[in-house]
Amino acid sequence: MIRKGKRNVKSEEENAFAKIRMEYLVLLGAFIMLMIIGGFFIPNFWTEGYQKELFKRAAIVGTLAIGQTIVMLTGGVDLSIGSLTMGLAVIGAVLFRETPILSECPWWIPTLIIFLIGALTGSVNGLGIALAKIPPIIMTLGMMTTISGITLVYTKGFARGGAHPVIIEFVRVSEIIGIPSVVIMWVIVTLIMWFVLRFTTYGREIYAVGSNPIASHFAGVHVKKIIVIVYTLAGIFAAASSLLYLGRVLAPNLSVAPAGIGLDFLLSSFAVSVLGGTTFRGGEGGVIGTFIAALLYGNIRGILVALGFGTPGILIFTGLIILMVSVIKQMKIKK
Amino acid sequence: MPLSVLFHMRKFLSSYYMFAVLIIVWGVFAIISPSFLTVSNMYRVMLFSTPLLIVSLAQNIVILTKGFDLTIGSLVSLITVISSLLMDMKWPLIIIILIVLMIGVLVGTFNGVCISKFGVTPFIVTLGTMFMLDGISLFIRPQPGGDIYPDFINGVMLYVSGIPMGPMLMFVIVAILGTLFLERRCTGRLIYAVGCSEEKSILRGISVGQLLLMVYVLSGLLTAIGGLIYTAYVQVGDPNIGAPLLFASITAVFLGGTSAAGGVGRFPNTCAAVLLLGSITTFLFQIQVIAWYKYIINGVLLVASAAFSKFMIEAKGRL
Repeated sequence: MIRKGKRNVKSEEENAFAKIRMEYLVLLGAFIMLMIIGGFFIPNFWTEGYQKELFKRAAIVGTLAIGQTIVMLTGGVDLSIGSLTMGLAVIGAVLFRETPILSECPWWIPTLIIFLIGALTGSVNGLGIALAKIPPIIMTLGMMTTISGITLVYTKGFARGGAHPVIIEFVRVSEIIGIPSVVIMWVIVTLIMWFVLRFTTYGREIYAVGSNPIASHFAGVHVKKIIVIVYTLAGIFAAASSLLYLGRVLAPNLSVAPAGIGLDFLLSSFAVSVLGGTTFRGGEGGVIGTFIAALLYGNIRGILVALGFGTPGILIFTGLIILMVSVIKQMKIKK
Repeated sequence: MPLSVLFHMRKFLSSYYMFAVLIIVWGVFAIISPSFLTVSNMYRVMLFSTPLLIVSLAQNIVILTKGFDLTIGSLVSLITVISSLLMDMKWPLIIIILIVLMIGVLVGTFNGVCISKFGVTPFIVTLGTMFMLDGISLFIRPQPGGDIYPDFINGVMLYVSGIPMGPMLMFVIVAILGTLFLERRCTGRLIYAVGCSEEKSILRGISVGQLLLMVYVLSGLLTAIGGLIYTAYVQVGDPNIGAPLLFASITAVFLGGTSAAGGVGRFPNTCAAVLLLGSITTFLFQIQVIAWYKYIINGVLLVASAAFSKFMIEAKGRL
């Protein structure tokens, strides 16, 4: 009897995961379809070089989007990671090349500083949201403009410096059995996060806080601690992503929109997380979806650029993706 | 007798505390920069606050229903772009105004339908629409440019012996109409009701879906009006001029004590907060702070205003 009951519970859980696997299958199908379409529109699509570039580009956005996904799992939202990524890339370029003492240090000291700044910014977000009970949108929106301002004041409005040779080597050249090591790192990080979210207490508590913060509080989850951890992680992932970006572009150029810097990263991280099946309500989604969606989104952008749509096309298309995915999801829930 | 006067004063202050804050801030500014508290400068503050006030009314109505309207900035940009484009093509002014207002209503309807019919979170709907509108305005006009009719500028500014009276008049009218709408009209009270509790409003027989749709349409329309007036201010079509207005409108609404949880907040406070933001901008300009610092000040103000609004509501609960 006991065994039977257990099996029933398990089969229900299996059902839930089968549903999620269906979503991943749909995403993978879309990805394969886009690969075929891409082959038609982009002349050297099926060359090794293009595919490597595609995966490397996806790795930058994918790493960033892991942070956004985790935050969204708790029912929050982080608007500051875009400007944090751009700001850290710009500040990192100065730290690596233009700062008197630091630039002579080994490469990992400025890198560590960048990670520390990322974690610190994230934890400030988390503390503001958890302790001062400021709505996540407001807290991170304020942080976004603040980071933009600090970056602009620090660099006096124009970017200087560049990436460290070690990072350039890692991002642009190094390969392990023919696969760029950036991509391998991205896969490993995604798998670790998947494991943490699926099998550890902290991971399950993140989902619990997202589905019902009050209930999880009464169930003994330390909600405030989880929220601070999650936003700090988002900051750390933004720092990692900024290093990858820095290594890729060598020297970042600082284009300033009135809303702040790094809006493109914010846009991509949202699109990827939403496309990957994570919802704004919290407690639903995961990093595997984000992984596939990052590849999908990178592919879409490549095709759009190849077709001659510039920034406007990408903006319109991304907005459409976000809207459509969330409307479809919502309609499914209603059914 | 004096006790009742004191009581009334306390009641007034607890409802409209933002005015007290405004007066204190003005005092501090006047001490630091003596030329701040002059008639011409105060006039400048009001002049720059008018578009923000209209947009803040839109944001305030939406936030009262627990929503968010992130499209405000992009819609303003789109409207400056489209009106400058149509004015380059020498269309009649009336038709341009009608088209622009219709765009506002259209965008509002789109948001409203997605939110009330499909039940998607307002934040994500308006975020998606924001990106799309940004893309459209960048597509129409990649670089700032275009000429605005001088007649239109004169019509908005209403110069009386060289002094623009239009914005001042509009400020007063919008402040009064907004307050009357939210505090005295049935629809305004329903907005508060829905913001307090959607479930209870449904049980009371309020058609929440329709009301939400109306709220977003109204927000789009008001933003379109604000965008038109802003066009007369900046006198150019610029695809990313509106973003600061979005930040400022959210900051003003929260500074005015409106709660993000919906249903709490008074519009006169928001008006005072708009004036406060205008004063800060003018003051920073007067003491010549480098432009980059404005980002930091904006961000910190936004976060502080949200914390402040939370604090004020909790303090009121204790009274």
